[in-house]
Amino acid sequence: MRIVPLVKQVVDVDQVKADADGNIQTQGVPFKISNYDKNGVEAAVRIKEKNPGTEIVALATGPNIKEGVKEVLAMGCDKAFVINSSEFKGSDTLASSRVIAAAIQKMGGADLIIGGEGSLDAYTGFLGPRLSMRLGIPIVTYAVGLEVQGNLAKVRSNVGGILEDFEVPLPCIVTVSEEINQPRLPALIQILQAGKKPTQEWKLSDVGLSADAVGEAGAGVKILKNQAPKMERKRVRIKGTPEEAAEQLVQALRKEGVF
Amino acid sequence: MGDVLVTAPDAEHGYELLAQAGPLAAQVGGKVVYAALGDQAAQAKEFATRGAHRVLTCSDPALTPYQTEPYTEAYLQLIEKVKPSIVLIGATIRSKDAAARVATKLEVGCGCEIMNLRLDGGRLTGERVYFSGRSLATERLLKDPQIATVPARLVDAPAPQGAGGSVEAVALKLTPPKAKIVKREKKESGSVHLEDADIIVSAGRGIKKKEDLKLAEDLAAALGGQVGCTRPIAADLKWLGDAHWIGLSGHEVKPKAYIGLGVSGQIQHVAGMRSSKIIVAINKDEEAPLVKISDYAVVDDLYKVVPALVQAVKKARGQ
Repeated sequence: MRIVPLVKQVVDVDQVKADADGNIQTQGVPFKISNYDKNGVEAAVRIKEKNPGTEIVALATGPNIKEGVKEVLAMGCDKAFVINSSEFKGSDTLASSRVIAAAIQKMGGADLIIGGEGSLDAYTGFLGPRLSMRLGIPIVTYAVGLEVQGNLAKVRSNVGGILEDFEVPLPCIVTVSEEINQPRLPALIQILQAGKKPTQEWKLSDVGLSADAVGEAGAGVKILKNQAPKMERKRVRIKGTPEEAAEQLVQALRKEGVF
Repeated sequence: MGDVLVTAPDAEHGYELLAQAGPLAAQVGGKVVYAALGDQAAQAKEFATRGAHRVLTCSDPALTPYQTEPYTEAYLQLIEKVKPSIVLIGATIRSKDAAARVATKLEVGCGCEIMNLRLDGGRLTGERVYFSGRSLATERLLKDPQIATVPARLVDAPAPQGAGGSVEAVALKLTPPKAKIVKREKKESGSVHLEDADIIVSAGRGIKKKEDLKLAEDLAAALGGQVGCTRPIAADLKWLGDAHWIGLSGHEVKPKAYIGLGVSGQIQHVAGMRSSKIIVAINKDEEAPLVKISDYAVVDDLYKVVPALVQAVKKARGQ
């Protein structure tokens, strides 16, 4: 069985800042592997532990992904294909799903594709569903449990207070929530070995895509601007000792007609 | 030119979308068409009297409960029939999957949880939360049909009015899904019903241990409100049940007042409470996103502020 975790390197959203005009600036912000994707890698490694002979092939994208992918190799992926995301900058999920689908076909397909429920930066959750359509395979999203038994993925998903248990024939796609597991922290020896695991970098042309299929030319959604939220909110900062602050807050809530 | 096709997994959510679809349809010179699928087919008139010029119904049992694969087929066939220029789909964690799949089949974009929907330069445009709530992206749909998923509780549902539009049953060709639900279990919610609460006191990770939830409970009791919480409190630590969970995967709420105690304001949580009339943040981290989207913020230790607040509220309410 071949499991392909999808791994996206994103800017560290905790470190993005707005400039004086309110525009969000990402230049110079460090990159990190999107946290839900690590839950996906962990889920893959746990399946491999129960199913010997499983091969885990990470498919990773990002601005500095050749370096970044080592983290998931250290977690237990066997090898990786990486695509530098500067090759498809400006893509929405319509365009980026073309890249990922083409890469999966190029590597000869997968029995189980595992993604995060969304990415830290854009958090649409659309990539998995779009891939499922492109590859013609079923999908279950927001998984909080995942096992493979024979030719079936057994998936538990929590839909706002309703638990749904699925049986899905392989090949399929599952996207996972952070509740599914606690991603392991690799030991030093695994980190050292990760650099020696096979990593192949692909260009867009390697997966058979031309530049106009991706980026702004291939996108269906354009981001016109990305700004710090402008407040219709009052943004009143209440100061003073806890007692003074409490008193002022009560006055404010009264004035607002809350009670 | 073209109609606005509207559908949502939840009827109330559907009414809210009808309110947003009306002005768009008027501008593009088309009609508002609502697709009442599954259980909603029986209440088609409710949609017809709340702004739908035309209601299409299909009560095929494959449409209940909501599953991604049959709904993908249903939406594609409805789009083929109506030929809309705009498609608005009520955003839930399942319907977003179907919307993205439909958009892929049609090779078009898909707006994710778009707020403040409008036509700008003749194209569907709106805002969405980005970078875990640190920014708002203004997005535009570039290709037809312009498909967007739209969150619940952004606007009030319109009241029924007049005789309403036409109702027509349609037959959809639905194949059994490959992803089969073998068990479906509703978790017990007890007496908690956050959607009905006027005041919600929400517990976040700034609350250090389970016993300290009493702070939130005391404040909620003094205010006559209910206790909500963030995803880690419900899903990871399991200090509170899913009935208290506010957010994209939990409950979407719109109370008169939302008071976050040690709530950082991650995107999944904000998605569930951003339409609250008044937002109060009590958090010692002034960089917390919730502080930045609040009406009133106390940047201090909640362990000191909340007991004082409970006393002040009790005094004010003569308790």
